[in-house]
Amino acid sequence: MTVGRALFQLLVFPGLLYAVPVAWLMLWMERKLTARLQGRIGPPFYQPFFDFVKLLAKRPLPRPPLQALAMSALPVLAVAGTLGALALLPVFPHSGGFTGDLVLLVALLEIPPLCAVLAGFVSRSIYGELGATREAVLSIAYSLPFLAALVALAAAANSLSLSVISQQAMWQVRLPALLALALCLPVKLRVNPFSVANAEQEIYAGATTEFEGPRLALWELAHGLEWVALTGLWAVLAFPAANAAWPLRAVVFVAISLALVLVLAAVAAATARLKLAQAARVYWLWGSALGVLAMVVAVVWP
Amino acid sequence: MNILGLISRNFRRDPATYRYPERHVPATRFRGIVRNDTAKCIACGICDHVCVSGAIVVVGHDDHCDWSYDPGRCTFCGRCVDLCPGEALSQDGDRAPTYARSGDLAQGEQITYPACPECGLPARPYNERLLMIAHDDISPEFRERIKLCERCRRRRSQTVLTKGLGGAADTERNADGA
Amino acid sequence: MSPVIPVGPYHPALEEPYKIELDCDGEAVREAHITVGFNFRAIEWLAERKNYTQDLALVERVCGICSNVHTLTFSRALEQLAGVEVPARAQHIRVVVHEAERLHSHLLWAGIAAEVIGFQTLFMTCFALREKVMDLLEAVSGNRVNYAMNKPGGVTRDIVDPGMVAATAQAIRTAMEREIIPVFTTDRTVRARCAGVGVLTRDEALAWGALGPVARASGLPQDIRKAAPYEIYDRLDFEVPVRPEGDVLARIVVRALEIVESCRIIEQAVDGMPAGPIDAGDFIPVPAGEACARIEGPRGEVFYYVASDGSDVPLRVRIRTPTFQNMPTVALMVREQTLADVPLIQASIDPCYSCTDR
Ligand code: SF4
Ligand code: SF4
Repeated sequence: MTVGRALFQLLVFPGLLYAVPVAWLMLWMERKLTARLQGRIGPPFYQPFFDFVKLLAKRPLPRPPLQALAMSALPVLAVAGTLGALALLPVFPHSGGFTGDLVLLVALLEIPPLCAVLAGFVSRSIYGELGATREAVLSIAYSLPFLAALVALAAAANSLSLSVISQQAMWQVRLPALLALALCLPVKLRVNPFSVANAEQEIYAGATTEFEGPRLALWELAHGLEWVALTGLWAVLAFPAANAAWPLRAVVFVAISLALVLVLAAVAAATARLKLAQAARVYWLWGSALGVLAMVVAVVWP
Repeated sequence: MNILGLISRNFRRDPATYRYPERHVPATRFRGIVRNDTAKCIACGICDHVCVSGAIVVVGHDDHCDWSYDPGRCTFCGRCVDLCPGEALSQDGDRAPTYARSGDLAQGEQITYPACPECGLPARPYNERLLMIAHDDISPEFRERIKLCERCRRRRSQTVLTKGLGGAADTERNADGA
Repeated sequence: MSPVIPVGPYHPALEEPYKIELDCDGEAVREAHITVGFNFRAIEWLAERKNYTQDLALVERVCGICSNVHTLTFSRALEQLAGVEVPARAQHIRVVVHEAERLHSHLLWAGIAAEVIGFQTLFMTCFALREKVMDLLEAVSGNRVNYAMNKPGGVTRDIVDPGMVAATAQAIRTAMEREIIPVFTTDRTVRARCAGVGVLTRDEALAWGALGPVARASGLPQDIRKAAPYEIYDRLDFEVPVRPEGDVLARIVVRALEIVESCRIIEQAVDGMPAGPIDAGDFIPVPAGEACARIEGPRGEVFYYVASDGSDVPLRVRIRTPTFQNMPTVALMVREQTLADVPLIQASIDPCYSCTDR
């Protein structure tokens, strides 16, 4: 991978230039579809962008220097981590990547939840702490199926390189693995029925309760980018056609990502929020079952 | 119907919400802002008396009465309209417009008192309904007197009184003399 | 983590300010302490300083949801003092508005319950249906929240279009039976959140003096409309739903069935509405004396005591609302439950703290 390519991926597609507007688009789609399913009009499409600008324009609260630093650095880190993960997505498989980028991707995707947990604790609010605890418990619960699915895919493709995996993993493995990943999306994105970590009626905004103005804006951005990255990862893994022309690949990548947003929003609209223990049980049980199934298939199948 | 049926129906239907500044059209006979038809108002102050929130304030002066109303304080209970003896008050059938500052929609009316038929100075207005509520049976003489201003009314009473007293005194003297 | 978690006084799950402090052990609740009084507005004190007509509008503002209940009880107390008879048509209209208010209160509550378990769509559905009730009330009274329908001796407004009222009640009943009740009772995520949560046993309900739907969901068939019928309730045919389970789901079911019953009551009351006057005169003098009145509000028994010295200002007005009785049971119900259930459990008694604080 050349430096130019890497920069292109980080800054243009599927990185910054693509991801930020699409993050807002996805946030809007989620809100709009939810509204329509609930019989409401819903916000205009520029609403998430306006929200972001409005939050940016607010004066941050004065805080003790160390806390202020931590509370600014954590969302920045979350944004950066997600952007990095996005840059690794092999939308154009021949364009590069390196062996082991899967490991880096997993690590980068774990940064936002980790930052959220830390944010909950540094903000020194009891609701932040509760949200952080819940976030931590859930991330343990969903990490098992999430990682198992990715490991199964890697084992099936016999490679730790994302582009190889996305091209070569067998469908017998890919299917349960994709299902397991899809199951992990709602909790990673904190939407119903697994919106436990930011359950407004119980613990306000959870980990980000104490964040305000530009710091909150960054969290919102990080959240939108997580949508892009996670749906993007799923899209990349679900669409292996290696020899399709690059415009087609880009279009399909975007289409699958957006469709996934709609599905997630519809599921969220049709469900109530589960409790922490119930949500964790779903992942321990069904998530792990799918992940383990994928792994067993990957190992046993010739 | 389960939740899937519900959301798919919602999706097919038009949204139930409005985009501002569209508004839900109120029902007929909606209780909106109170209006005073000053021609009928007799400045009795009942509306002020029954208004719990002090939205209506009636202040009497020598030759007129100030009737003021602030919709921002009004609870739209309609008690003033129901009990107004002059049937001067009514309520708009539409929602109050949105306004930015308190007091923006406040109304102030002046009820000028009619001239007294005897001296031409201002006399307190009255109407039939108020009379019926306040007095059980009304003689033609009383009906005449109620139109007068307070001074003329007092003078009329004085005349009657002195006449009556005079008569009584006469009789007494006569009795003494007898 | 600090062991005491405050819920409130300002909290997204609470409709009104009050405070529960939870002694927690992780996510499990050990003990709850309830503080009220954030909503104190001195309404009783004010009522002793305003005349009876003003007091009608004043007591209407004790509660933003069950406003009609307060004017109705207050009017009934004054009618007792004055010894006036309410014309039959006025009684029917009172029952229509009273039940319509129960409808919208219960639908509002169902929406809040859905919202508290994070079920936004169900919340919107309940509120869309509630909007129909609000439109009905607006068409009848001209107001959406504080209807100003009652006065001593009758009502202030006639129902001009009884057919519309009956049709709306019918439509609400159908929507309730077809849409909302099935989702609440069969949806898996709802059941997972509500069944077996926040149990109040029959004995506890009795000992702690629970009222209204809370008592009825714990197996106590207690309803003033049956026990001491007022207006025309003794001539109406309706059921009082009772469930033995005592959990949140039972409270949901009881209220949902009550909505259906209320629709039936409205239909009957409109059907049998006789012609005639709607009040016993504009001015009802209140003689010296004292009187009590109680009626079944949406949340349970509402009690009024009025003392008069014969002037146009009451000597004393005492208001006791059902939440005052139901509130302590929350501390009982949340014990050994998880933190995530607390908002739902406190909401399940349909608390009205502005009523309680007055
Ligand atoms: S006549 Fe009606 S509007 Fe005029 S002061 Fe009396 S009550 Fe008020
Ligand atoms: S409607 Fe009620 S609150 Fe408004 S001015 Fe009349 S009496 Fe006062």
